[in-house]
Amino acid sequence: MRLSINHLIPDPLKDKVTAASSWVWGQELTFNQGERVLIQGPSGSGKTLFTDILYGIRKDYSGEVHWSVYNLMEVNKADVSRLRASSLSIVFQDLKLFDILTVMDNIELQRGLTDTVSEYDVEKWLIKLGLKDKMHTIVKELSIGEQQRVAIIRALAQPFDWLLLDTPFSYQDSYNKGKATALINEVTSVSRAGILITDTIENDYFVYDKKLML
Amino acid sequence: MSRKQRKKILRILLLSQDGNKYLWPSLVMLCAGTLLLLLTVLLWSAFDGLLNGRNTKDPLGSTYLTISKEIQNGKLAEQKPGVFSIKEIDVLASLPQVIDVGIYNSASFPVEVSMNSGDTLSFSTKLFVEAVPDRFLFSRPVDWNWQQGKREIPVIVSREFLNLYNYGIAPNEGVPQLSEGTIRTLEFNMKVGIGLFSESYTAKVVGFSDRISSILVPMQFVEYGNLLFGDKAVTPPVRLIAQVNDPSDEGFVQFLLDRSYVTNNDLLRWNKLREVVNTVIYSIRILSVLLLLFGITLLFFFTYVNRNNNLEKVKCLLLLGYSPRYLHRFLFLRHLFTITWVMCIAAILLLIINIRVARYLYGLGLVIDKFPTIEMWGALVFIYISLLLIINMSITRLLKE
Repeated sequence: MRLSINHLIPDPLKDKVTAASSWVWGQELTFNQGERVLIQGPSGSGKTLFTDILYGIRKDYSGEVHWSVYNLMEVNKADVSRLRASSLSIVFQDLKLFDILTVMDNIELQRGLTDTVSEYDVEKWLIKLGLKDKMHTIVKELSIGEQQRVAIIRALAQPFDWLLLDTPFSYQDSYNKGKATALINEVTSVSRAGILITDTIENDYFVYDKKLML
Repeated sequence: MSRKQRKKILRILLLSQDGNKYLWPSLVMLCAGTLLLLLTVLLWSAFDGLLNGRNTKDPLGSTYLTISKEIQNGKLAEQKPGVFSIKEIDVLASLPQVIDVGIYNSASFPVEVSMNSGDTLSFSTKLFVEAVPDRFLFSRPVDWNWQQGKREIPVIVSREFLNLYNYGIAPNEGVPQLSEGTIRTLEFNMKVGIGLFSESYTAKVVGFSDRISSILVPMQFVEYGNLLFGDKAVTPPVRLIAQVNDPSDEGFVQFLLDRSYVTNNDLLRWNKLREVVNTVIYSIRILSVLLLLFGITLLFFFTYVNRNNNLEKVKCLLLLGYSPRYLHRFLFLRHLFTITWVMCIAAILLLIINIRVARYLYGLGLVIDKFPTIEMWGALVFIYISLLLIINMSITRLLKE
């Protein structure tokens, strides 16, 4: 699934950004499935705004964003749901986990939507990210770093063509960041999915096809 | 993961403890409010039946009035003072408040009743007997019949007369007071006619009446006596008995006043009783409606709290790829299940209360419908459908947000 961005300018930033000052805002960009893209920018540059627009959460922008034939500005709610369930996955900056549910229930809610990833794989991933003993722990009892790793596994527990990662390792030490990156690489290489990461800094564990500054 | 398991997780998620804390009190109040509204319909329906004569056996079902013409000095010289004409009876019968009209057929022959059972109960007195059509009797005694040749005459006595005897005559005269049961066992000698031209019978009290202040014998006996000792089976009607819906109705009262008709004083008593009953009913209705509104408000409160509680969760589920349609269906079915249970409980409680009240009232001689009426089921269905529509709207709004 190809991602096309044409002259995208978010309303909240329209007075701040110009095509000359950004590699992303106001540009014409195309990303093909399987590519690994880093969108880098300092705090306040609109990284979360960008992923929110790509994920169909916000529509306060000018320009166009197309996921394949779907123009996000025109697509209906049912199609957005289908897109999210089958083609787009995301790790939110604020994680958006259900803190009254256990780790497993949080992941199961996502996995059970399509049932295309096996429980065995999920358990394997939990082991890899050091969460095996936390499977039945209520999320709010986990550390923020652990919660972020749960959010990463939840994002992997569904079919997707693109994985959007909004500052996904902000609470990870280098050891856990390495493990999480390795897992993402492993899963996306099998599914040939694209990765689009927004972050303040470059992550050395990924090999990027494109690096763009906001 | 099975669908069941996913729904279980969703239930945990959307029915968190915060939600539950408000859910149960509001559902209990909803059940109580619904039940109270239904009981109001039950009360209204029962009272309506009792007051408006839907149940003919019921003493409150309708009022029976004895109507006669006022005796005025100027009219004493008239040939037939106080006699109702057929036209007057027809006019009375055609009034919307009047259900039925009958004529008191008075005996135009002398009646003397005596008893001789030693020193204690010996008496002899002249009496006046009447007859009314059987349909005006509250209950028709089993042996309430007479045909020519039968020597026993069944008699129904006004309870007022018995009270007059027991609390007036008996203490004064030093004779024993008599219970209804005792009187039913006594036999009296009844002589009708005068001198040689007379017949003797045995009279037996078979019932007592609160409705009619008279001494009643079967119509056949009065007609027989009137023909035997007079020239007409039926005497000119000077007293009428009327079954009416609401004797306190202004139009009806004005009709009586305009024609100088007088009735027994039940009219005023009924009016007061009706006012009291109506006040009680209105109070209960207002209270019930308030409680129902309270119940519905609590449900709204629950929906509001639940919505706020679930808003972020539902938003998050939508972000994960759950379709609005699926979530709408899930939330609606969960509420449908809960509300159906609440309504079933309310219906069962209503049924139990209805049966118990009907039994209790039956013991008091009042008859109401044993089972909830169509109006009550209608009210239940109305509340049920209204609640589901409200819930549906609330979920639609939640998902749009």
